[in-house]
Amino acid sequence: MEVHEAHGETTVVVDTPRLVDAALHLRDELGFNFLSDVAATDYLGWGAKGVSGYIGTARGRDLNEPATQGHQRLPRQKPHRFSVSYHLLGMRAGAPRVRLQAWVEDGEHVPSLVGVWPTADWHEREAFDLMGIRFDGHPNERRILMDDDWEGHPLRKDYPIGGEPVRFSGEE
Amino acid sequence: MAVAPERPRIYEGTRIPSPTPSVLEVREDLRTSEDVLTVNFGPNHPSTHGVLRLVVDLHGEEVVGLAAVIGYLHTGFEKNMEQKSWWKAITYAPRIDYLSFQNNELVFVLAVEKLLEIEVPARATWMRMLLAELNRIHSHLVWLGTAALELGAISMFWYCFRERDRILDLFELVAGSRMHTRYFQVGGLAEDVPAGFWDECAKFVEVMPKAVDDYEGLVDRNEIWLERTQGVGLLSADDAIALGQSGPVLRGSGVDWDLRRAEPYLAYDQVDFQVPVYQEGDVYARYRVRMEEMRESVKIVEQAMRRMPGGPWIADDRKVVLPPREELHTSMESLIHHFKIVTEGFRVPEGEVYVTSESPRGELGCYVVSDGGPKPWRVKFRAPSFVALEATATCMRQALVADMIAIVGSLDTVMGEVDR
Repeated sequence: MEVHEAHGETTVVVDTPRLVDAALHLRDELGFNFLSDVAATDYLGWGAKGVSGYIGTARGRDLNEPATQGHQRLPRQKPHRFSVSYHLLGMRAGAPRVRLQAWVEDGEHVPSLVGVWPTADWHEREAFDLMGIRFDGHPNERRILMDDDWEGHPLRKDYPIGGEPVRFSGEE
Repeated sequence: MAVAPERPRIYEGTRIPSPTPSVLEVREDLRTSEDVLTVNFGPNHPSTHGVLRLVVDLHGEEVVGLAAVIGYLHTGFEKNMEQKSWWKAITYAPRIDYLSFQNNELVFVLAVEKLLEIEVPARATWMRMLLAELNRIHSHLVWLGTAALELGAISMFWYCFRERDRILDLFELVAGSRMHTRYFQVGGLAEDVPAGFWDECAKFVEVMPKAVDDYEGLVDRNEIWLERTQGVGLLSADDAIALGQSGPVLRGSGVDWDLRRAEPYLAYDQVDFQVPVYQEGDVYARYRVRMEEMRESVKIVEQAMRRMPGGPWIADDRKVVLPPREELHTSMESLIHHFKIVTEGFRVPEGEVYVTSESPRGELGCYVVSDGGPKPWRVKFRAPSFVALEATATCMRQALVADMIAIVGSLDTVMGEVDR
């Protein structure tokens, strides 16, 4: 387990097998009774070509490459391709928040937290639908926003924008 | 603060369906019964507030099974925002929830500002608060007008849209467009407030509380309205929290929780307002919460107008904020910076933040990841409407089919925000 502090927010990174234990501990012992959100992120290509295809280099400032302004660097490497962030809130004075985070590779599963917070139901379905993350023990793991027979997971970085074929009116 | 120690007994235990919290399954003894009729409701039905589809199992008049099907309005806002510079991505945020556009715009701008650690001038902060509250009234008016219309109170619709139009006039005065104003800029506001705004806003502040009296006069002692809203669509405080409910739905279930007070953003810690809480957990309680919130929002608007600070309306950070228009003719550096910000966009330091605000529908969150580049790596909105719809199955326990309209309406969902 690792704990990071950044921008005034606390992130607790746990290994996936211990996710349910961590969630129960946060809910029952530390009073984070409210699950705000589940956000999955795909880090495919993160920092691969400098910053967002920008002219940053790992060495930093390069006079031969303009617009680096001496501040460029590659973003910090991520442990795995996908992160799943659970944003928790304690409904009490001070409104403490914490981000519980798990990291997985493509094809790895995450234990479902529907048993801990029922609201995770649709959030996890959305993460499965748009990002292709599988949740073990989810009672109703189906697509939620896309059609049931949709292929691919649109929010992945290797899913092209505008990849949907368009049939123009008037065409046979 | 927080949850009242003695929570109201709306019902014993929990009513959240199991194993799937958002799907009400037909009882064992009814499953083979030929009296159960499965009805498809929507997605194109006028009272679904967009395109919501409900698959309902009916046993006579009683709803014995229910599953919500969403996604008909999925437009891929979050994917699109990843392809746009930070500057252009702001344009997408208000379109997600087309009734509380300024609140959506606000939460995205606040998230970017948190990553940038940019200081926003006081005038911009107070003006954002004023507009966010006007927007809250606007959103509640559309809810009240349409929800009452669905229950047969047609005249309410005309009254609500009369005041709604006045608010849109104010938005037009400030931002030039009536909806999707895109008036909040990273660092402050797009332009200063026009001089004529204050007089018009003062007129509105005077009219609005009387208008709320009118609305209450129309329905609050109307036998049909009370019959159709009281004791219908019950949701207990514990179930509401477990289902992640927020905003008026949560406060209508007796939970005293409002992010404007619990974790104040903008200048909400400097203004006086009450947080209305009702204990009944029914459709009527949600209606009451929204009515009182409109009165409280008027108070905040009035205070913001009276105490509006002067000075700049946008931060003076030339790497993020566009230079003033007149400088472009005299300063080469301003011209270069203008060109760079418009073509490439400004860069936002690497990091991830989750920023929340109290939108008219509840906790509106924005999770933003930046890799240090000119475009967002990931934007995720925590849509309160999306979460509110999860509670449909719980609220519909033992409900009649006629109550379905009242219950779904009382959750105040905007399908654009549900499907994003």
